[in-house]
Amino acid sequence: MNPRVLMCGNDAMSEAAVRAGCRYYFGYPITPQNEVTAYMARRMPEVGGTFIQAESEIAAINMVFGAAAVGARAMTSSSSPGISLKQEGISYLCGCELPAVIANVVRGGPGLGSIGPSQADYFQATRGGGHGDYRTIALAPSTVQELVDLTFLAFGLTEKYRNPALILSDGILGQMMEPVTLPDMADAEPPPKEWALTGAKNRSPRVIKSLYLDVTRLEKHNFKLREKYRRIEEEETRFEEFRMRDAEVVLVAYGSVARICRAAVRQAREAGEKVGLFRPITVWPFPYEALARAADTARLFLSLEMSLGQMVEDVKLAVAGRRPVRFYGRTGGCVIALEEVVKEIKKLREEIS
Amino acid sequence: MMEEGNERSRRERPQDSPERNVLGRTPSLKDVPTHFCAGCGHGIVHRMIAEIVDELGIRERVVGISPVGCAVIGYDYWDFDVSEAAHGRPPAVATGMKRARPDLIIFTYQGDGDLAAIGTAELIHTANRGENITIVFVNNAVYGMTGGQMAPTTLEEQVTKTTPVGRIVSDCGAPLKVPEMISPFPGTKYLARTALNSPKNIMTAKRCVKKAFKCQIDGVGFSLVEILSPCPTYWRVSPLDALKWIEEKMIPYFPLGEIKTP
Amino acid sequence: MARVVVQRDRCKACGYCVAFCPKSVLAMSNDLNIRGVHYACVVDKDACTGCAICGMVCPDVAIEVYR
Repeated sequence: MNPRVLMCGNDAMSEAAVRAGCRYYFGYPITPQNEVTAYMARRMPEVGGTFIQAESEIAAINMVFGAAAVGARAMTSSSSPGISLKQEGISYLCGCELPAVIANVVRGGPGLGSIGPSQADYFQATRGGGHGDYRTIALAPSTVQELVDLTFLAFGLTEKYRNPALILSDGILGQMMEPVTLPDMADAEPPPKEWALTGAKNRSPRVIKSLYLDVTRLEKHNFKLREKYRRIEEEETRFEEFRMRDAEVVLVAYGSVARICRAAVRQAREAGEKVGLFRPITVWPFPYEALARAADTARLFLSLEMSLGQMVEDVKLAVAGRRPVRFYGRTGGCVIALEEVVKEIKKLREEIS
Repeated sequence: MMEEGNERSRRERPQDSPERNVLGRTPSLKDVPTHFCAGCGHGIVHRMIAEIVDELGIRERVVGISPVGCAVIGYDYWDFDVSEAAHGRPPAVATGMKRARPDLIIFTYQGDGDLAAIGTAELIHTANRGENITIVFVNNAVYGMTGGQMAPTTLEEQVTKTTPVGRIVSDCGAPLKVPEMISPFPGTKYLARTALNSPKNIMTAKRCVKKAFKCQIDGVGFSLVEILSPCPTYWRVSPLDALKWIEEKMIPYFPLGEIKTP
Repeated sequence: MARVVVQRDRCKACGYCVAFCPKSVLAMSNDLNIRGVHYACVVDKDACTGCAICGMVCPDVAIEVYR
């Protein structure tokens, strides 16, 4: 059993990537994920990997593209505005079916925003974010340990499906320190890939592209991607249900907001109130089916986010009008306080009584 | 379809002097018609690169990166591993590739928009880092694929779709001289400018591009060869007049030669 | 002895080979090829020295040279 170490989220995520076999990190400074570039600058040479501080977030995602195209395990990280810059690159990665891990340590927006934590990149993370029909596997950890576990998982998923995986961290998770158990170091040598550009020796040449000027061909390619996304939806949806069995009021929250909601649920349960927490762990694929099942018995859903309300739309889709869906949020970098959640639960319980 | 005259001359040839093919299609260039306009320089440069790859024996180690622009479908013409890249980003893609697989010979093929407009940052920083890659820069002073707009290398007074009265330097800036721009960086090792306007210049261009590839193979460092190339369609001239335009207008502003050698 | 072979339907009639042949071996044909252009063709085969300039300048790799 590996020892428990106290680490901040950004450092833990970086180490988890290294343990997962990532040996190529390309990034650019932006708060609140600067610990990642500093950590990787020191750590990559230690494990014989490569660190480049690129000239921009755009350059970084394209360096990831290059490394992925030749079969390497590569990663980049940024925060909201930088992730916006990467959207074209992410679209290309999906169109070309290349594996890559992209971490977003979400901050307040829009525009330059703030360096406080936020969840206002949910649409960007779950609806593709860039141009075209594509999806990135989006993993939303709620603790630093989960950040470690999901980062490790991300590298496996991205290679399994030849599709980028996004780690949705945020400004609190990136900065907070918690004890973690790190995974064992995986084999740094990635498995051989029959599509990677390795030089046309003893085989016919390969091409990495997303351009299909023949529109029927491009449609076919998109259908192939859709089939892949369907498989991911079937096999990789992850969520957690906390005190849900007889819950009347269901809080739906992910990431660091879920931590606060968990405390609110505990408090409510101690007072004999039937409140539960439904926590998506993959926000894409979103656990629509499980949440829909909860609507069989629950009476009201409350979506809590650090945004003006983005995941609430997925909650409404899942609940399909069968129960009321309410929203409560703070934004701009403000964090929802436990008292606010408790107050909101009280208000809503009055509404349904 | 062979010409009749040539058929006859073959039958008349003496039996004891075996004929050999001294110039034909090199193996790394696929035997397919190209989409390029009549007289476009891309055909010459694509072929040049394929010949260099075959002459240097690196077909099994080379990876090309196509740009966005008229040369976007290089992978349809070259018979070796090729990747596309987002507009302007080939030097970053090349960086990622070369760092992950330093044994591969990585080259980018970029036009004036890809390299010197949207890709300026990637060009400068890849050059400044001294990545051991090769950039083939095809400069035809105009944006071909999108219909003939101004490029960073469009000449003063040159008429394009977006400079209908000719490029005005006080408004658009002066045309960029790429090899000169990156020459001061210690990371750049071999920089040259060549042209396609005559057989002699085409041969020089091939020599320089080959030297650039050798630079990479020998681990010397970053190389870039600019090639002044005709675009008859958007210069609105015949192919032969386009070659004249390179000689009379482009070369005086973009001097030919090796700007930097290792 | 030398000769060149022009692939008629690959020729786009740019005119480079005709312009740069030092021996005036080639000229633009009066006929049209499948592209609808006056393709380059051999008009003085005996003058050919196999210098291969025509093949080298052809952007469409439509010319083969034999010696």
